[in-house]
Amino acid sequence: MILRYGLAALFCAALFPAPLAAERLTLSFLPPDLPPGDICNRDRERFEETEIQIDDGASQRVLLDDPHRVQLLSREIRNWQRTDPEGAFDFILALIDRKAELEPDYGGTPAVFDRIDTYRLAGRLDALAETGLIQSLTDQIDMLDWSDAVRVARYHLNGLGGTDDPDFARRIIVDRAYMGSAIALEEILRMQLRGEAPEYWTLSAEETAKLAFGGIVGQLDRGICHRAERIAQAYLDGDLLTPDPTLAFAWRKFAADQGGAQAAWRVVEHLLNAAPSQQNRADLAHYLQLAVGNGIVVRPDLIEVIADSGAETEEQLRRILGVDRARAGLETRVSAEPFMELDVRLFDAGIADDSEMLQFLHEIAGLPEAPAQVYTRLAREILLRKGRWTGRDEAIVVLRQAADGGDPEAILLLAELLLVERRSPSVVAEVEALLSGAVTQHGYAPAMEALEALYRCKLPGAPYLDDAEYWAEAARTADVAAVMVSANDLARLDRRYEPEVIARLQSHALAGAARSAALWLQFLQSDVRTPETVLRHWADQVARSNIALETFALQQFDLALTPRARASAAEFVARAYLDIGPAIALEYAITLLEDRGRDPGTASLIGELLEGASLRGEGAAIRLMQRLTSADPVEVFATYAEAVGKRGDFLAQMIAASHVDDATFELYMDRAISMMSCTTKDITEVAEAYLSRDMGAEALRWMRIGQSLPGGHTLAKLRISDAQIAAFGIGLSAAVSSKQPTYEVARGHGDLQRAFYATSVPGSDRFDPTAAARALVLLIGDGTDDGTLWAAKHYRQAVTAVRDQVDAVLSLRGLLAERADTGDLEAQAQLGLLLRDTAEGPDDLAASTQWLRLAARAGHAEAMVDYAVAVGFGIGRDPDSRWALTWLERADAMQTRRARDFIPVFAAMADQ
Amino acid sequence: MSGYLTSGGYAQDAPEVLIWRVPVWMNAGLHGPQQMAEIVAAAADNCAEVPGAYRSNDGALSADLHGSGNVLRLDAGSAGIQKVTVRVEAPDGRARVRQIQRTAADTVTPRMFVSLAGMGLGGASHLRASVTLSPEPKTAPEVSLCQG
Repeated sequence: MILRYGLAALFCAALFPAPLAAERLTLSFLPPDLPPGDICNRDRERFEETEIQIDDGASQRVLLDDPHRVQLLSREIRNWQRTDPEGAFDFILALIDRKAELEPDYGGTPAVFDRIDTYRLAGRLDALAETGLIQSLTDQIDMLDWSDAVRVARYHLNGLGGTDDPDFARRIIVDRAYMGSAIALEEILRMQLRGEAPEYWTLSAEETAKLAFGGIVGQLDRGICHRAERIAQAYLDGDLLTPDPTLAFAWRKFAADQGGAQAAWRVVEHLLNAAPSQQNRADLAHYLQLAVGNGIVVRPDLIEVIADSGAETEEQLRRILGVDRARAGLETRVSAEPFMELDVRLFDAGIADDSEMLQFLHEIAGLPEAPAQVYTRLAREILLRKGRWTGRDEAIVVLRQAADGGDPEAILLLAELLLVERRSPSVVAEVEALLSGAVTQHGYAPAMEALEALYRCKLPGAPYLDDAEYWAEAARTADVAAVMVSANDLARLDRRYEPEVIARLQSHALAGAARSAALWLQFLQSDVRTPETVLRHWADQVARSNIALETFALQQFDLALTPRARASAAEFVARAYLDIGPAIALEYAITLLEDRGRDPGTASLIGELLEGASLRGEGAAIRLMQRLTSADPVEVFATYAEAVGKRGDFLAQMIAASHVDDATFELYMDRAISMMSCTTKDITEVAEAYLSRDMGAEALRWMRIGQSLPGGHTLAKLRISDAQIAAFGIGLSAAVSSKQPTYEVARGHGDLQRAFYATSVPGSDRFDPTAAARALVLLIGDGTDDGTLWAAKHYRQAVTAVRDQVDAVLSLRGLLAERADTGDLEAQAQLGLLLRDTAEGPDDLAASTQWLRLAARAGHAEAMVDYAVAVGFGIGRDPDSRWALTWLERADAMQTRRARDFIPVFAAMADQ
Repeated sequence: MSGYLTSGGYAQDAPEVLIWRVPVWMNAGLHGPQQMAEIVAAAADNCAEVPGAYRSNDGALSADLHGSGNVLRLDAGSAGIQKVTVRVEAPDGRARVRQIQRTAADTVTPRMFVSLAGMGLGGASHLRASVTLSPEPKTAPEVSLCQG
């Protein structure tokens, strides 16, 4: 047995073991100090999967060759093993057989491992034992390579081998460890950390770790980047090692320097997420160039193309990323963005009629074991490639197979496509049967919502309110509707006042609802106490889903309150666009337009994005393009008429309404109504489409449909959400009630506060400054601290008409001053702010700053920030940005979120 | 539960007290109102003849339903009912169709109670209901109308 100490020469830049933690090892293991090279791209083989990003078939190439077929099969096997190994068990084995036919090297041991894993993941352990697969590997264990032998040993350790002989497994592992197997050493380290290492293993955990990670680094061959990523992951996941993001980054940087495309992209992401003071623009450009130059994104056949046109491609990515923009300031919230590991793809603006993915799905749908979901995916690909309307008939045939196979998602899509023929009673009957069957058999809640929309909006002669309300009530009872909450409401959700919304968001997110996961992550970001591990977990969940990522990215932009935050959010939307692709091109264009649309270069990019989206039949893009360019609507429609006819979405059909003949209009309206959302917005669009053709009776009918919507017309709700309306006056959560001295006091406060909110907003129907002032006066006069301080805070924010009436009754300044004099810190802070907000001269400002100083010096964290602002800007005293920074750092140390908003501002001022 | 309440065992020897444990994680609402309506109707099983009900040549049942709280009881004898499609038609020709299908976890029994709630067709007092069963039984199922 040989210990391979020779490996040490490769990696010993630094290796400092620290004392063992209970279950993790703290190890500072840096990558070797090597000059940059291109090791990871030497002799790349076509079948290597570790460094290749597979495009989802968005390219124009139409011939599916065997290497790509094998890649797609590999991914298909992994996906099914992860998502439904039991339900798709036979299908996975069929895929393994198919892959083995195509790739002889895979057909041996690798295929056996895949089959074993399939049995294991499906929980078919008895059946696995009967197959003798593990025994066959055990019989030839001396001929297996080290990692395969260790893998077999793990089966035995876990009792999967059909024999209960853990000692045999340990011997195998120890033998391979002595031979120098990194994976065996890692296994022993794991045992040591659990306290289960064999007695005859004499090395310490630290020594084992050194050898294990040194072994992972291994030789300087083209696999080094993949292995460096393994080490980076070890420093991120905290399984064996104490997490250390800095070391993880160091390993990725090492891999990037050796030509690893994925690693280079990770470095780009890291640099994009860094604070401005730590950003190195030269590094960013360098690693961006490495990422693109080394073929991130793409299949092997495109790598050469990209390499040949490197400058142009890099420039394209730069434009998409917007990396040339000057930035100032700092993030204001805890952010999960640094934990998002996104992909980047290049794609065409248009869509080819055929794709490798389409061919592949046809092939695997032909396997007798194919699950229904494969047919559904095939139907979606047909609709994407051929167009929703030109591919409809073909998709319907496939969807019927999927529906028969029990996929409720297919049923919903099939019903929607069939409903274009909504004037046919037999089609309507089929749609009703399909959707109600999806509810009763599959418990598929979206089908209830579809039935409500069918009866409320989509049937000729609608609304049929009895039927619609029956299904609306059923959907409400199921309580699975997505939580609707705006970005701004989300960021200030209060556990005391909106506990139901928070609880439902969390439940839906945990249940796997993509949009809810994004909203939940936004909510977590609004709390600086959210642990990094939690942020990392949800960031990973969000990054895995296109819908979640899109939702999250767009909300980041909505929530940006400073120019710096907006620039950063726009960059993140760009990254999301690179990851998701054309599906969010329109949203990306809108973000760019809001962010920097007046910039000619950006305007050009927006034009390209809208052009692509318009060619894909997205009506909103066509409409926006026309408005931005003020082009003749007739000419604009003529440009995209073919796309609208072939694949136009709801809005595209609406745009077409005033440009087509009567027969086409009727067809397009049927198409639009079949796919519309039964909401105020879509209903208004339909009504206006009828109006555009002077069809007043139909327009009126659609207006009546709009009137029938639960909760009424959206615009009649001001800015209040349905959840807020539903919660009106229902009582406070236990968290709030438990803090109140008595129920009576809480109720009194609540009523007065609600009265103030209802009457203090200028422009609202209920604006009544007298009533608002009365509520404040009563709150101030109730004698409780909470009432007075709440009133003081809202008095400052109230309009003059309200303040004047309060002033006519009492002196809030005087009341606060009395309490402030007694040493009441909260009163001191409120008085300081009140004096500042209502200052009539320099004396008021000086007094304001003095009160804030007193409260800050006594440890009031929020007052520290307000005092720092006064000091920094010179309010009521001479400015001193360095002194302001000192106070902000104290506040920051007390986890005061606002402190971080101002630190970069005063840091910049101090530098000047 | 619906499997037991629609079984011959329950019909022949119904217990006085039945304790039903519903796991907290089970969302009974996902399958719509039909599941609970069937359980309530099957537990009561008080299907009486509706005055004026008659069966037409094609087997469809016509009756004055007086609102939408009615339940059809289908009894296929010894055959199990996996799926039922109910079509309710008003005198003016308007129709509603609903499909009720047992879940994979359900016990298939010869009886099924089908709620007509939400199929009232705007308060039409006289409705005609026809049913299609799957698998199709050898003999026509016995169709009764119960008050839900």
